[in-house]
Amino acid sequence: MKDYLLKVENLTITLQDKEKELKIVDDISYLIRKNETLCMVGESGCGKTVSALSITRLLPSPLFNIHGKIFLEEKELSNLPLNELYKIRGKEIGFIFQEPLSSFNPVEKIGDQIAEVVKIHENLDKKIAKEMVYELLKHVGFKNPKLQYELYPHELSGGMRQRAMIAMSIILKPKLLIADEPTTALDVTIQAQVLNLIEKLKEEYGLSILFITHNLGIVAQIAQTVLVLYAGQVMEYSPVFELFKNPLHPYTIGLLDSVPSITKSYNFNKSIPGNPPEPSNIPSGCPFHPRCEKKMKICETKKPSLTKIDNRYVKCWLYSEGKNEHS
Amino acid sequence: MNILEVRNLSKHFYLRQGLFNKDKIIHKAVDNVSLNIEKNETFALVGESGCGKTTLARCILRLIDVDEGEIILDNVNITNIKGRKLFPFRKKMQIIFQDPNTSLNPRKTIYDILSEGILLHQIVTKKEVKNYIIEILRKVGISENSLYKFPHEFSGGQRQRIAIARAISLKPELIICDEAVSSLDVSIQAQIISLLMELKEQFKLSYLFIAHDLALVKNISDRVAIMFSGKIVETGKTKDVFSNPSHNYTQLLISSIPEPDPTLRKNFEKISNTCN
Repeated sequence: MKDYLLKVENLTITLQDKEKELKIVDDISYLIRKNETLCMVGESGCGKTVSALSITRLLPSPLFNIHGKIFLEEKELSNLPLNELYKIRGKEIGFIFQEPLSSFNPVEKIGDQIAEVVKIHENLDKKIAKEMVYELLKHVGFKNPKLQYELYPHELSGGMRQRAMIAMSIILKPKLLIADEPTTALDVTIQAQVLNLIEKLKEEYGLSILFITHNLGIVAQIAQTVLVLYAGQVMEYSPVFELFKNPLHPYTIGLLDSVPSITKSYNFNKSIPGNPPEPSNIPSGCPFHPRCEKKMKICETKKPSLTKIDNRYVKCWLYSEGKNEHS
Repeated sequence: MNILEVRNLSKHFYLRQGLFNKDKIIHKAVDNVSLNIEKNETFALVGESGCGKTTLARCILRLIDVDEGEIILDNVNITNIKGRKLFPFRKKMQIIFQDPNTSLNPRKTIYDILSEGILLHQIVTKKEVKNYIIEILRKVGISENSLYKFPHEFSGGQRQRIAIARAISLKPELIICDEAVSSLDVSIQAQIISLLMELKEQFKLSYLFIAHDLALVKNISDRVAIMFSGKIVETGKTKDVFSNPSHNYTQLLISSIPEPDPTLRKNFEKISNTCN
């Protein structure tokens, strides 16, 4: 019995662009334990979604090249043939996408779309599948499942659509749930409801969750472990309490300072200057150095390696041992 | 001194339903709303999507006609002024939209985008336009080499800076920021907020800041109004509203904010029960 559920080792994803190969994700490794929530945070374009999609190889293959190893328990997903992978998608790994309106089929009833998952994977009778869906819809907060089974996606509100999406992703009790910004399009009160539902299901089903978000408030509320990404690289990988109490990487510090809060004062003048880099133009050395206030000479030329400090990892020359040798 | 006063404003939309569209349903997008914004003040308007925030903003700007009520800008009642006579008042209030990707014309250069309003309102003479634009761009942190670039050549944050430049180039007194920072990443959001606050001091601007992020509003606004299905349910000094929210909906909103502090984990169960 392994102590982890998902292990990603040295994942690198490149995008073929005309002549150049662009690095979208650069050598990231992490693992998710059983019944753990790992939050992936970072600004838009830092490779969060791409790295999550690569777990079940949902990226168009000649365009994206995936290197590295991905394990789901003992199974190595990264070299599994596609027909084996089909059995894992939706059954062992569930997906919740950001925009539920565009991820549902607009011309099919939501109930039928949820039932389709059961029909494909379990080869069950239509009637039994329908019963399963009724029960599940009720469980995720639909008051009148028999009636709401017959609705089309556009007839539901944003919050209800996201609930239907959650129902679809967990109907076969997957081990891992990948949630890609599931609450970004929702209002705060609805967001609280959806987060509550995800937490409740996590306890009930013993789910492990890979939660992608850019909202550090949500991270603080639900994560056990946090992976901070910048320009496709891991900047910091740490348990949530330590990260918020004592952020190590200058990028994490800047990010936490930029978040307005109702309990602490917000100093918007202290925010990180500049813009995140484009994948075609990632700075040499540490990708964050042009925006970093603690920049040293070595940061411009040499990429730091991931350094272990207690139970956390950080990629920065401030904490790297090799700092003195090179400078 | 008030720069803007809104008295009992209502805007209704009519939806037609049923066979041959016989049934008429009234949707009260803005329902009997009153507010006032003082000079050099940041007044925040908060509410969920669909509660009528943007409709109210469009009414105030006179982009759409109101059904009832009065809008008083700088002691002049502009509710019923139409057409050409409205022209001098347009200059006094400007808007920054949420999405700079769609609010900047993709086929115009930055120079064209900015010069149009400046020339129309005769802020400076034709000869001085270029220098004036360069000066404005410098104030918002865009270099002058960008003068003849197109909007798609900029990042989201820079585009929003250009939208701000367009708004301040007419020397307005009131700027309506309609979710101006919602679509930006937190680090860029902080940069834009910092810029807006700096410009506010420099030009003695007043802001009507429309947002749904309560934590942000708490930190930057002087007064706040909470809007719910077309009505303002609570209004007051930001400090007071947040420390002692009186309306149930305000309390619910404040308790739903995910705090960026893992030691203050919320019981979302409780919150979501009160929602239903």
